[in-house]
Amino acid sequence: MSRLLDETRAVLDHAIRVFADDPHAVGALTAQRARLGGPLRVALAGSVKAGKSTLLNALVGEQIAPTGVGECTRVTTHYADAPSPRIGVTYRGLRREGDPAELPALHRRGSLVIETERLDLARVAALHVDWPSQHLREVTLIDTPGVDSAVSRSVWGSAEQSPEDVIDCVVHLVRHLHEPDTAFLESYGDRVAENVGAAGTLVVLSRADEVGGGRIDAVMAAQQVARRYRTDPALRPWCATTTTVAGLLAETARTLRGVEFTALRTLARLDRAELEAQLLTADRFVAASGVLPSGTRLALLDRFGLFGVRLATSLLRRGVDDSAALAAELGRRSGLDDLRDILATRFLARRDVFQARSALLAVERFLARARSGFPTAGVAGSRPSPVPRAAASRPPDAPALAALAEAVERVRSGAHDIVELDVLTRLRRHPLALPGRASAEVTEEAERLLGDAGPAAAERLGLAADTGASELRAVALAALGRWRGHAENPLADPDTAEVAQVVVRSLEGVLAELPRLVGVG
Amino acid sequence: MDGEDTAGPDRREARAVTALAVRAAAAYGRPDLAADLTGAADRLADPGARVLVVGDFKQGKSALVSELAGTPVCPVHDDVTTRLPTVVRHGPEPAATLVGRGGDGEGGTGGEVRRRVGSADLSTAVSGRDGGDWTHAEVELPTGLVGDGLVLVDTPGEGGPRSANGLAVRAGFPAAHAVVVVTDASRELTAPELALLRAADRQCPTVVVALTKTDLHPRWREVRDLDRRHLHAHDLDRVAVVPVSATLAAHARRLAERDDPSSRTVSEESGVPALADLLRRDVADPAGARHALAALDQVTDAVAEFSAALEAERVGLEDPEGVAAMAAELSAARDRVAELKERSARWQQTLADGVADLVSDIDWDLRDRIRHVVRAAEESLDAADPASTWDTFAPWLTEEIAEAVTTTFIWAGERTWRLAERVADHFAISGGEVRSKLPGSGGVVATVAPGPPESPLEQTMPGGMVVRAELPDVPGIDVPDLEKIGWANGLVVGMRGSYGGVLMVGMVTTLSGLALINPFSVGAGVLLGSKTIRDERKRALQRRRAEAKAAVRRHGDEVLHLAGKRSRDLLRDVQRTLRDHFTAQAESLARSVAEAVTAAAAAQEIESGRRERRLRDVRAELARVELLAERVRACRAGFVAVLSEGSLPSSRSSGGALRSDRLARTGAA
Repeated sequence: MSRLLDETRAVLDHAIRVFADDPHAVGALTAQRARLGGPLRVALAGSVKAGKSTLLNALVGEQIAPTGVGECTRVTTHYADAPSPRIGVTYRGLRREGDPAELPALHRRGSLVIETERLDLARVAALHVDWPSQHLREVTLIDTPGVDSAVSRSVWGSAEQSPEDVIDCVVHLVRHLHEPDTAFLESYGDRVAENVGAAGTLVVLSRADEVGGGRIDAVMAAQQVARRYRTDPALRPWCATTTTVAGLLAETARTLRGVEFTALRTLARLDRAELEAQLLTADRFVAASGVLPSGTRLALLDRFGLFGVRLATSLLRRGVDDSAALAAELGRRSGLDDLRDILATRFLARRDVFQARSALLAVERFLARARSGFPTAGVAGSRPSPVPRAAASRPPDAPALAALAEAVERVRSGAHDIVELDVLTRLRRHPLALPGRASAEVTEEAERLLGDAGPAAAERLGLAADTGASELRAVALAALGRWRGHAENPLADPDTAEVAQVVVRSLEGVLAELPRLVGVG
Repeated sequence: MDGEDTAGPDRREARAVTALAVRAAAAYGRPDLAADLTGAADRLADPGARVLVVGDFKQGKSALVSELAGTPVCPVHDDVTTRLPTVVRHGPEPAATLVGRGGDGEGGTGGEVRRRVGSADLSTAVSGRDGGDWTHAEVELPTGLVGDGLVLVDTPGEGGPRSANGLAVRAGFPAAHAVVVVTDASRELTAPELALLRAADRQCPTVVVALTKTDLHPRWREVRDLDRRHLHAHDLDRVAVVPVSATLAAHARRLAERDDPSSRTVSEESGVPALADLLRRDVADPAGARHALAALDQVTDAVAEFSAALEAERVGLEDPEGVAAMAAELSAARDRVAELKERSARWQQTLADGVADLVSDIDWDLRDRIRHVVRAAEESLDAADPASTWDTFAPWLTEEIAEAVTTTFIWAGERTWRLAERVADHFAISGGEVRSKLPGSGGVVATVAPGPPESPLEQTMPGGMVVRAELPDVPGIDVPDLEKIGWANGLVVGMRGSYGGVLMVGMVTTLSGLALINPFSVGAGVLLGSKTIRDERKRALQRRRAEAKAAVRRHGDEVLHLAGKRSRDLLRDVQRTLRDHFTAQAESLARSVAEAVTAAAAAQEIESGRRERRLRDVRAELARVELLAERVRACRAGFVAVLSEGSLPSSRSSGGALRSDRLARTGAA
């Protein structure tokens, strides 16, 4: 895999040489080069109060992103692993006198406090939070403001995008999926997701615990909804798959405290009918007299939600007996584990591919602009600058550009993984049409073989992970024969034939790796 | 708000006296008055104040409508959402009907298909799962909030002003008496929701925010305060935020079914009764009071008229000498009535002139507004390339034109209402004179002018007829043929240009011994070719602009044509309604005068032996009529009190004032 990164690095070096006269291009390309091999950049997007920050906390397992009743995230915030906590601030345009470059990293009751009062939010481009955490080692999480906020503007809406805004994958949180969300997916599908594509987008039905008024089976009902979305033709072009998560419950499960466990156990010991009466509404639960003071009760609701308290007390009553077991069970039921699996198999397993792909795309964009005669500034966003720089950048000459384009193309076609991603994205929009076959099934098989569910051989072939090499080989050979047939089918349209050829190549790759596995085992 | 209070508006009493008056009119041989009064009684039962319940998807609109109605009428689901608007109104017994367009279906009348369905079919149809082509569903219920004359409309989720749903929902605002914007307590108001609220506030007298799902979110009070802050920031302080919990209300309903004594407190806690009271007070009561007043005024007039004959008879029996004076009065009254019926009567003049003025004013207003939109559109087309901006331009234009048409219609509505008021005044002056000459009348009966229009597009005319302005469907603009010069096209154009260049320079250079195709001629060809392409591109852009502008103008004409027809129809409707109403009034007055004359004459000829007994009977009848009149007056006073309370300018409480003050605000503004 790292061969791909090495080649990409070489192309980027080449590009930096070609565009040496253009400081903006050099800046953007250097940033791209520096992050190759680093953590995957995953953005959390969605409407206001969809639970982006809560999910981020759940993924990290610590309360580092501020969450609360009102709108919390007003600025795009990057959370990355670092040896010591630090909050950096970058601005649109130049930093002015008195603009702080850093914010103090304060802790309050185990959570990080980001004090944005002193900042002029209209000019802040992004916050960069460095936080020592093993869960941020492989991914950098990017929290974004809600798309339909009444007060702040979202990064997605603005045309300007700085080099550090490069995003490899998007987790899009929705509370329910209807026209506005699809419209949003569509609009950013064109702008940001140019380098993300459907293959790099995951739609998550968040706040699953509130479906149907927080009934005890709310998450299960939400999972059914997500299953329906998975086959929704309106959604198909925009994302790789969908899942559900009860963000608040997930966050709490990852950060369960001893006092909370004790309080819940006290509640679980109450008479069942009495507790149910108290849990009818949030207000009643807080105001109920008896075992716990109302402050504790409100705190419990803030952390668990009404559904969480219902679920936790019923689990405790059914015999879950210690804090760790409760946390594990809550985590499982919240859907967080599924989400992490999906992130790991679909995104993290292909980190190099996603990164190389977006780096190559950046080079291609600069190439296209240079060829059409536009100044390269404004490619990835025209950042207002007091110094005129149009005169400084002289477009590179044509032979150099041609050589660079050739280099990009060489890496691209050599890296089958990138081709696979592109084909996957295309398949989401245009399902295969094979004469005489159910196209949905064939498309599904093609997507699986192209590594949609994960790049490992067993995942591609749809077999259990512990399947023996000989069986894998047999299944792969059968599939290969079938897809060779599709590729050579004279009745198939050119698109289908092309996809089939890519599938054939993926299968050949799988087969090529198999004997070696046998040798090792 | 205590319902038992006798001083307050008593709708039941109003209905009772109206029914009594209908019977009395029939008994005294005045079927014309009885028919009039029956119409008034019907309108009294259903003032039909429309309350639109709107909001984003999955905020709990259907659940709220169900709880307001008092029975689960709208299906509530985890995932599937309302696709059809559901209209919940008053009816004699529970019933559900699906309404669709198209004339060839079963039972199709006037291009409308109606089908009675059970509740299961209703919920599949409303959630759009039966694939039927229905436009909306209607549910009739005998009790609950709808029994007080409110019509609740559950709408599909609103997806912003650009979506088809959003446009359909917004189109309903001008015709609604109140809009309830539903937002759940999980988050503060979003930008699209605030835009929706602003649109509602501009076009509808009463707007309320219902903060739903307060049972699920412990911090709903903070969300409510945040919402109030947003409303304040957008200058929407008049909008009340009412927290409700449909889940709790449903629980209370189940408790009540089991006769659990705690159901009342649970119901109070859910906040739904508070919202229902607010709607009743701000929407149903004023609308109902106006209807009730109009009906009671009619009853008063009718009572005075049929008592006139009795009174004339009494005078004739009691005091034969006074008959001569009365006869003189009566004949004067007869002349006056004849004048009223004349086409040259003052009210007729006022009506005819007023409508003529209105037609020209409204036509001019519409033209002017559309002209402005078209001009702005042309300017924006001049500034950009229509081929690339058309996709955003077309929705913008449609929206602007729809806005212009709506504004004109709202204005037209106000003007027609004022005209109706003037005509009523003029009629009342002459009619009052006639009535004062009728025997037994205690002087001129003050007619209350109709109240202010209850919704911009719907007015109750004097006499209780409701005239509705139907907004025309503004069609979308046709996509013009925007010619673009593609690569292949450009190549051909370029070749054409370069051909001339090659020939021209080539011919000259052949003189100096070079071939026709030589470096100079090719160079000239390239130069001229590229210039031709540039010129052609420029020309194509101009052609595109001209095409687009022509399309905009055509569209403007089309809308003007449609809307103009609608506005003229509306005015003609108003004119006809008013003329018919007042002519009927004049005729019934004439009949009353005639009856009084006959009664007086008959009294003269009665034998002296039966005179005493007849006098006793007549006196008893008169006492009964007087009792009825007394009841009507008492009942009327209650409604007048409500209306004058409501029409007081609301106390403009500053930020820190009591919340209840703001809640008590009425739709007077």
